[in-house]
Amino acid sequence: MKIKTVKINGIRGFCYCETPHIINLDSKHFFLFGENGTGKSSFFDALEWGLTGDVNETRVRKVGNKSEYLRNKFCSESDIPFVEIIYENNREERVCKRTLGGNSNCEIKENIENNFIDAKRIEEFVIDTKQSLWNRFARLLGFDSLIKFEEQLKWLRNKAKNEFDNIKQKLNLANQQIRNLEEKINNLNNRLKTKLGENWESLLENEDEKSLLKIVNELRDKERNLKNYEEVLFEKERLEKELKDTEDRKEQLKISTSEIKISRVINEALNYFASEKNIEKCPVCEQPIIQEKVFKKLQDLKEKLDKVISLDKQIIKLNEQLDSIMAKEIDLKSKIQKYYSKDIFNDNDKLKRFLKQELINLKMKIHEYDIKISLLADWGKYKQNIENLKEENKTLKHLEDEYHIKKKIFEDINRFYTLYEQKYGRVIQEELEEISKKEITNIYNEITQASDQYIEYIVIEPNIENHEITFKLKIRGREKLVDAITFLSTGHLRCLGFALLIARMKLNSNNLNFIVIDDPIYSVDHERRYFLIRYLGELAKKEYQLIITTSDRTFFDIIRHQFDKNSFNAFRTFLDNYSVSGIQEVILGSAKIEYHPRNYIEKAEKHLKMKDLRAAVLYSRLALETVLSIVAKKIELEVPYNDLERIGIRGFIKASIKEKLKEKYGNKSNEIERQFQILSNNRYFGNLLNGFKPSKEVHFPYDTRISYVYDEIKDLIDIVKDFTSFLLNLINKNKK
Amino acid sequence: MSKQFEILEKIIKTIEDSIFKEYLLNLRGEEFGMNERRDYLRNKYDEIVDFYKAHEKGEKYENKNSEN
Repeated sequence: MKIKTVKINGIRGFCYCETPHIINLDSKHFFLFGENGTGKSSFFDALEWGLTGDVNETRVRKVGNKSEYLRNKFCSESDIPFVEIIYENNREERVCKRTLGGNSNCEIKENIENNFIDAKRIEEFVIDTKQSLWNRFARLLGFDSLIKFEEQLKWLRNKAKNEFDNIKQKLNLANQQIRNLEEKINNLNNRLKTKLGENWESLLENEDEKSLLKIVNELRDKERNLKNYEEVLFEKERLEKELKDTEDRKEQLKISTSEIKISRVINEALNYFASEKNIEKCPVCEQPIIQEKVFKKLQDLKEKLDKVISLDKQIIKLNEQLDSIMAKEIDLKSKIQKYYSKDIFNDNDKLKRFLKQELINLKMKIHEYDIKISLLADWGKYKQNIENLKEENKTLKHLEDEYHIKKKIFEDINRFYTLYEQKYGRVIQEELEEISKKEITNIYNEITQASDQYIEYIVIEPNIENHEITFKLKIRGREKLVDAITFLSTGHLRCLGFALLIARMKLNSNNLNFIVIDDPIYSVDHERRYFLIRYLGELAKKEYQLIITTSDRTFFDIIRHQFDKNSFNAFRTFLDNYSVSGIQEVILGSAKIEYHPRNYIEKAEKHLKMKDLRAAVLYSRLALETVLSIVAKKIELEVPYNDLERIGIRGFIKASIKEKLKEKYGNKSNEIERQFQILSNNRYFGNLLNGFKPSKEVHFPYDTRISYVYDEIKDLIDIVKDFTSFLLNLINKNKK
Repeated sequence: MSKQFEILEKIIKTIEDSIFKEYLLNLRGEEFGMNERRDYLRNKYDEIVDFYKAHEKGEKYENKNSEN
């Protein structure tokens, strides 16, 4: 899949116009340079949204509303912003149009978002927690679904375990229940056997519990009546005796009825004698009396009279009680007469004895019946327990079947889960090994040029159990692996992140051979940028279409230098009043340049003035590469590469450019030798020509980064200037 | 089919034979539920019990929840 044209209207920095902004990529590489705020990322976002339907930047900026982020702020309400991408897929032209707030006709390509790389993605991918890295790699390698499946399997296994435990518990309970029932049945059997003998069942079969209950109730009724009757007789006897005693006591007082009648007069007389003093004569007959004697006599009389009155009251009460008890006696007697002959009531003493004996007999009879009823109840329980046991055995059978199934399910799932974990762990390990050894290490070494230096290889160490990932590095001269996050510099970490993202993109096998990279060089030095572009050049050779935006002019120049000018379109973004609206908007203008060493020398001198020494060195290098490629073309140097302009300085030296020049321009061979010698004598060019050798001056034992001072760079530019003039003169003069 | 599905299917097929594996392979059409919520398989438990019961009896399992 390669992108031919991008049409943007009303998205981010691109204003909404009658005719959309049309950017022709022609399926070629596309390099976009622009200063901050001129619309590079607007182009990146529009392309990303158009092809993926999503914008990573909205997540980074935590913007909830994607439409709000994407819609150009000068759009009117009626404007319908859109992105239309025309691309080639399997030599067929296709169109993907996405309208903001509307539909899209875009075919969804799996993992297409992996083909978009920007600084934030690079940073996120490298500097993160071990668990987040695991998640990122899970998505990268496609084992996030395996993780989900593992989680599901775990849930299912737990469910199966719970179900198995439950059924086990139920089975134990049912067994316990059966044991209890059996014990109960056994106890009842023993009890009935003890009471009734071996044939207890046949004995009880003839008994009818209802009739027994009726009989025992009748006996109890009879017993109650006899008991009540016995009590009434005793009470009656007691009352009669008490009445007689009371009457006897009254008799003993010997008070006549007339005396009782005058009791009121006696009271008055007593009061008179108690209140008056010195009474010598009777107030009635006036006969002489002794007051004390009369008073004493009156007091005695009064006392007797009170007693008689009290006894009379008591006799009345006793007679009433006696009447009541006799009524009861009659009632009970009539009830008892149903059971016995009238003769028993003739003699009171005999009756009492009879009642006593009869009550004892009744009690014994009732007890006998109670035992029979209780045995019948036991038999009922026995029969019920037998029924319950049958039911419980049925339940047990059902539970045993369930137990057998659920045990098997749990064991199967558990075994499957354990094996899945092992195999899934192995798959992840293999995948990580493949990606780390085959891709990431190669890409990283290409970008950092570390293959001949201190990092031998990169290892991605997964911790399957904890779902964690650690990056480890093998450093030359050290056996133990070191942690990449703590060991690498920020720039190197970015290179590692870039390598990871490229590796991820390459893992896709969906024919998505385009890469969109937004400003990937933040924190990467000039030297690494150079190799980064060299690596991108390698990708381009593998048919990848590169779409790169940058705000770094030097990077932009190196990109354009590295690629055949016919293989790409280069644009720069700027803000202008392009339309009549007066609103500043993003404009993309063509930014093609003529390759010439002098252009690079000029830029090297400009950067030297600005004290940007690394950029100056890099432009000097581009100048040298350009002049060597011009010369190689002129003398028709045979090089083992197809693209002559891209083989690099060492490539020309290895292809014996010096010797070929001497051969062609024999009269100038001494001068040629001298110019190359001057070049070799220079520390930087010498390293480029002959390869970088380990030096004690550098901070890492095997690092190639060498510090250069201002004067050294100035000499370096002069050398390349002289060398360029000499060679161009040489080949042009001889042509003439 | 996605790469994940292919990997998962490959893993499942290499695991030793069991009734559960047989059941799982029945879920191939649903991609083993790998993209579903994590209680997806858990909710299949009753179905699994029926599957095992049918298997024990040597019968062909018929999914009651199936639209057919």
